Amino acid sequence: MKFYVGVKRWITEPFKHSTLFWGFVNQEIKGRYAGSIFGLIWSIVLPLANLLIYIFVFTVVFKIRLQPEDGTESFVLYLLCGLLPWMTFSEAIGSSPGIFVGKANLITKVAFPIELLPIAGVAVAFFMNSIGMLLFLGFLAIQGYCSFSWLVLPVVMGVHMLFTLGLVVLIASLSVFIRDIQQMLGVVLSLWMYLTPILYPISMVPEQIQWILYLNPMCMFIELYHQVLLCKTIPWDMILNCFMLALMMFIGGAGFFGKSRNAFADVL
Amino acid sequence: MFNVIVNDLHKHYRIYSRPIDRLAEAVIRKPRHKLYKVLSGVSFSLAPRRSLGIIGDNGAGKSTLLKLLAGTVSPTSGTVEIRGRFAALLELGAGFHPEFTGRQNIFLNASLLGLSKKETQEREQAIIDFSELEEFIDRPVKHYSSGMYVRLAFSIATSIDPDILIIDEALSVGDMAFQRKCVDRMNAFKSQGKTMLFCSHSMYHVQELCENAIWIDHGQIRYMGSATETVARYEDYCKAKKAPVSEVQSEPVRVSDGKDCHISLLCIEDGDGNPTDTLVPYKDAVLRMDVEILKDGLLPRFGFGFLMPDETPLYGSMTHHDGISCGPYSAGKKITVRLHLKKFPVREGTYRMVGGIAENSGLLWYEYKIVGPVKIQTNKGLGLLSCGHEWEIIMSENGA
Repeated sequence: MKFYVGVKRWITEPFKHSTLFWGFVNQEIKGRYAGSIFGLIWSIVLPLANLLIYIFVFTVVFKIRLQPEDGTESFVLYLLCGLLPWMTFSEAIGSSPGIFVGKANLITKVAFPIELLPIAGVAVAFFMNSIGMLLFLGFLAIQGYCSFSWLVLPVVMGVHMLFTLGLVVLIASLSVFIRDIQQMLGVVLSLWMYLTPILYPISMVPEQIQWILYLNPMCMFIELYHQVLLCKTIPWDMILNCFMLALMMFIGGAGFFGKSRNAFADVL
Repeated sequence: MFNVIVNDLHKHYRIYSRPIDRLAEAVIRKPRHKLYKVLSGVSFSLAPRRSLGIIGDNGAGKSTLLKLLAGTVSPTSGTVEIRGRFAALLELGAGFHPEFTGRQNIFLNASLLGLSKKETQEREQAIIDFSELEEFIDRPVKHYSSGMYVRLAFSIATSIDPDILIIDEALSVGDMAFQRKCVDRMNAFKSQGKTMLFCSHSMYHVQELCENAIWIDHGQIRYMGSATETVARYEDYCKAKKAPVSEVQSEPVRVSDGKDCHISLLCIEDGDGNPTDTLVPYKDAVLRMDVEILKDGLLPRFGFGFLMPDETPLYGSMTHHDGISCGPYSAGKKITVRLHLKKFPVREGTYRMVGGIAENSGLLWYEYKIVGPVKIQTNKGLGLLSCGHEWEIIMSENGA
């Protein structure tokens, strides 16, 4: 019962405390480049630069070739399709160790539902990257990839968000006690990206090793994006699997949070 | 019936010598921590529309108690029950982002304190007016002076309107004029019938704002009662801690390495030259110090003084104040220094006498010694001082 109440809070609190919630989101977004000259333009310029480097390295230098079943012959489109959701995920996870630790002062002095903090963190990551996503969708539409399968995109994004949130909460809660996580995360995320079929299609990976990739939960999520946006299919079984995965991750994260939450103020 | 009920509250912290011990304990399940008891069995209740002061030494557990009341920390055992809408001001400026303007920070801070966006907008101008920061409100908070910062924070914090307020030393910010405004606002809260829990080191404010008070010492309630009584007991305790009035002559305090000179005797002499420990108001007194010179060519300054129980000087004189130069003295010499006081005006109280020898630059004490208590043989009159005086009563010519 207590567990149910705990999980329910994740849904109710942002609405009950909407001013505070949007206040945190606002503070995070504006605060990122506050005081800098070019401001939010950096949030476009930096990912764009990153993207261009990948395109150069993989198409010009490595000359990657895509198969028709990957959904497209254009490496750029394939890359963007996987990279944009990954950047959202990576940004959210990358900031997760600091979500509670960074607001230690606030948590120990003011009583407020601290569930708002990770939700705001994930929301910010998705907002900031949504511009890029929208531009990409527009670009795809012009290229003729539009299809009914796109209608499932909100579901895919929703499931992706749920998984991200679960992991963010888990890492944020663990980081309160084990500060080392902050140090490791950069490397882990880097490695993780290379183990996900973003920069290369799964078809390029030797058959014997492909199972390693399938162990990676993000692999399925990114494949979902590929399938829905490029291959124009709606793989319901994959969606269901991802949903179960996301649900497990969320329950795990929220559960750990619920158990350890009372000790936060003692440690922070 | 009661607004705030605290029952048998205990709070312990686990102290780990290294972070890895915390992890080890979770895994191995054997305790590797030391238990630090902050609160051990605190219980009290507060009726509506009353205010309670919380006083005590630093480290006694006051802030922890307030955090437990505010709900930011969970008790190890015991319960806290608060009935009604409450707000806790444990820190001013919680949630302030240094890059944002004062105006922008008002909104987040207010929402953390429980105000909706609409309520904040209604109060925005009043907050700015109270903080007296009109010119600076649209500049980033990082450019504020610390006084401006706390003025804004206090202004926001007191614009909320809960039934119960929990305040941790958040008073007395800013300059004197603003401090007065703060106290006025707190008084306004009181007259509006709000319940207040107020923790402070300012005994004056505790007595001004609260009917009752509790004194927390080492995690327990040492006294609970009316504000005046509790403050008085706490102040007695503080005084006793600082200045234990001893019956014995204290050991000389060497500040230099002790090889320069040595005080062999320090006392008050009565009219016949005998040592005494009592002074008579408005009569002559003699203070005597016998010194043995140990270092050759010493150029000292001699001084005498009287100290009040809290170490404040009551009276003091040194040889250089009166233009007297002493020395140079050669080693082995024994000197008796006497200060003849004419008509010592103190009438009442218990004091200690201090006699000392300072270096010529006045920066270093060779030695000083404190003796006491020195009693005053009180006469008829009032107050601490006695003055030479003469009465004159005249009848006017008409006899009206």
